[in-house]
Amino acid sequence: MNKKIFVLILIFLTIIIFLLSMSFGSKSYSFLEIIKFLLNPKEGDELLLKIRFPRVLSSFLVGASLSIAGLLSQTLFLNPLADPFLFGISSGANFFVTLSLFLGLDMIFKFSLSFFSFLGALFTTFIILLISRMKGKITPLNLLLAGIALSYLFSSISSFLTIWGRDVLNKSVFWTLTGFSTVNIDKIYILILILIPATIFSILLNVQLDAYSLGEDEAVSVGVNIKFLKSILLFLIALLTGVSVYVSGIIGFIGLMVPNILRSLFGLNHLKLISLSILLGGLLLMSSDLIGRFILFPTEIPVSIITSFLGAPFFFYLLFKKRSY
Amino acid sequence: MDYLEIKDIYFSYQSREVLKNINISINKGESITIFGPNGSGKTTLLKIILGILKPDEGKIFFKGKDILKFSERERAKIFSYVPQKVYTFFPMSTFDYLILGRTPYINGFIKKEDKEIVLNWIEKFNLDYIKDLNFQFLSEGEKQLITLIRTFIQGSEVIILDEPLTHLDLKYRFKILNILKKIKEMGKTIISVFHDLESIKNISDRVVLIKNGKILEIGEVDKILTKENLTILFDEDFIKFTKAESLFL
Repeated sequence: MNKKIFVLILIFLTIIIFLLSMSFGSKSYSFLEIIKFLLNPKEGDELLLKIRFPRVLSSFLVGASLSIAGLLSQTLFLNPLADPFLFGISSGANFFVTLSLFLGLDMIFKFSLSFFSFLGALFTTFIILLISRMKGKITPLNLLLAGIALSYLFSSISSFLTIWGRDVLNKSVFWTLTGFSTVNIDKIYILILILIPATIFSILLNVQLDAYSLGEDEAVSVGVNIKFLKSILLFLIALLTGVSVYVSGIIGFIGLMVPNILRSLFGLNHLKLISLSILLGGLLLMSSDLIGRFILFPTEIPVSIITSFLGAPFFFYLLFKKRSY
Repeated sequence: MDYLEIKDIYFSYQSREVLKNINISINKGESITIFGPNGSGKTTLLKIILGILKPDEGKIFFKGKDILKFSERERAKIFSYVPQKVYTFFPMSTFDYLILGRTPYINGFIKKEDKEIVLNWIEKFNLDYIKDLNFQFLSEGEKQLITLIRTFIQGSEVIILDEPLTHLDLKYRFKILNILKKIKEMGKTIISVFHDLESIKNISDRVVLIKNGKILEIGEVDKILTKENLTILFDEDFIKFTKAESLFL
C-alpha cells in the first residue's frame, strides 16, 4: 500500500471514529452538535464535557501510550513479540496499585496510585531485562514465556489481595473492570503530562533506536551509548505502561499489534514508527471502546475484551508467519 | 607514539581466563590478522578493541589516548565493525541498514545530506537493485558486502573484521577480498580474524598467533605462518603434510 495513502486513511478514520464515539451513547448527538461543542466546550452539554469527551480522549491517549510502550519494549528486548501486556509489565503495574490499596497507601498524595502503577511497571520491566540478560541463550520465545509467567504470578497475587481485603478493594475491582467509563479530567491531565514528554524523548532517540535494532554489539560499534539508552527506555516504558494501567486498567495486545503493523509497512525508521504509533494506537483503542459500547448496547463490554478478541488472532499470525527470529 | 596500542590486556569470563597479557602495537595503514584455533580469544580481543567489552586489566590506546576515554560516538568514528554473522532483529531495507553507518554523525534526525552520502555509496557499488529490499532476506554474501560498505559510510579509520568470509561462496569471497584491498589502498588500518591462509596472504601485513588467550608470536606473514608454527598453534602435525594437503593451508 502506498504509505502516504495509508497515513491519510489513518487520519480520516481517526476523525470519523472520534466523531462517532462522541455521538454514540445513552444520549446521542449529531456530528454538528459535537463540532459546536468542540469549538466551545464550556457552553456544551454537561454529559459531553464531563463524561463523553474524557472517555473518548482518554481511550485515544491510552492507545497511543500503549503503542509507544510496545514499540519501545520491542526495541529494548530486540523481540517483536514484546508487549507490555504479554510481558507482564501491565500486571506488575496493576499489582503495585492493588498492593498500595491493600496497605492503604493510595491517599498519601493526590496521584499516589499513578505513582505506584509506574513503580510496578518499572519493577517488572527491570526483572524482564534481568532475565533477558541471564547467562546462556534466552530466545525471544523463552523471554515471552517468562513474561507470561510473571504476568500470571502478579495477577494471582493481586486477586488474592483483592479477595482478602474485600472491603478495601472494591474500588480496585471496579477500577480494573471499567476501562474508560470512570475516567475524569484529572486522569486526562496525567496522561497528557506523561505522553507528551515521553513521546518527545522517544522521538529524540529515534536514530539511536534504529541503531539498537542491530543488537547490542553492533549498536555500540556505530556509536550508541547502550547503557544510557537502555536506562531511558526502561523508564519510558514504565511511565507509559504505568499511566495507562492507572487510567484504564490492563488492556492487552495494542502494544503488540500497532508496532508490528507499522514495521511491516515502514521498516526500521523509529521517527515514523513513533509518530504513527500515536495515531494508529489511538485509533485502534478508541474504535475498540466504541465497539464495546455499541455491540450489546445498552450493556457495555470492557474494552480489554475487545482488544483481546482482535489481538489474539494477530498474535497467532505473528507466531506462525515466516520469521527471522 | 603508537597509532594503536593494545597494552597488557587481561580478560576473564566466568572465572576462565580468556586473554592473558596481550600486547600488540599497530601502525597506521597496517593490516594485521589475529590467527589461532577456535576459542583462543580472538573475537573477545576484537570486542575489547571496539569498547564492547571492558578488559579486567590493561588498556587500549588510540594515538596515545585510552579508547574508553572517548565517547561512544567518537569511538565509532575511529573504529567500525564487521561481525562474523550479520543479523538484524527487525525488518529493515538495505538503505535503512546502510544509513545506520551515519549514526555517530547524526544529532537528532536523519538529514538529506546523510541520505545523499548513502545513495552515493549505493551508486558506487551498483547496489541500486538491492536498496529497497528487506535486508533480513538477503544472502549471507550480500549481507557481509553491505556491512563492509557500511564501514565506508561510517568513515572510520580502523576497520575490524571478525571472520567476514566464513559463510560466503567463492563469488562473495572474491568481491570482499577485493574491497578489502581497496580499503588498504585508502590507507585505512585493518584488524581482522581469518581462518584461511589464502585471505591472510592476500591482505595481511602482519599476523598475531594466539593460543589459549596468549600471544605465541607476532610478525610478517611469510615469516610467521610456517608449518612449525602452525603445528604448535593447532596441536596438529602440519609438518608431515604432503603437497596436495598443503593446498588447504
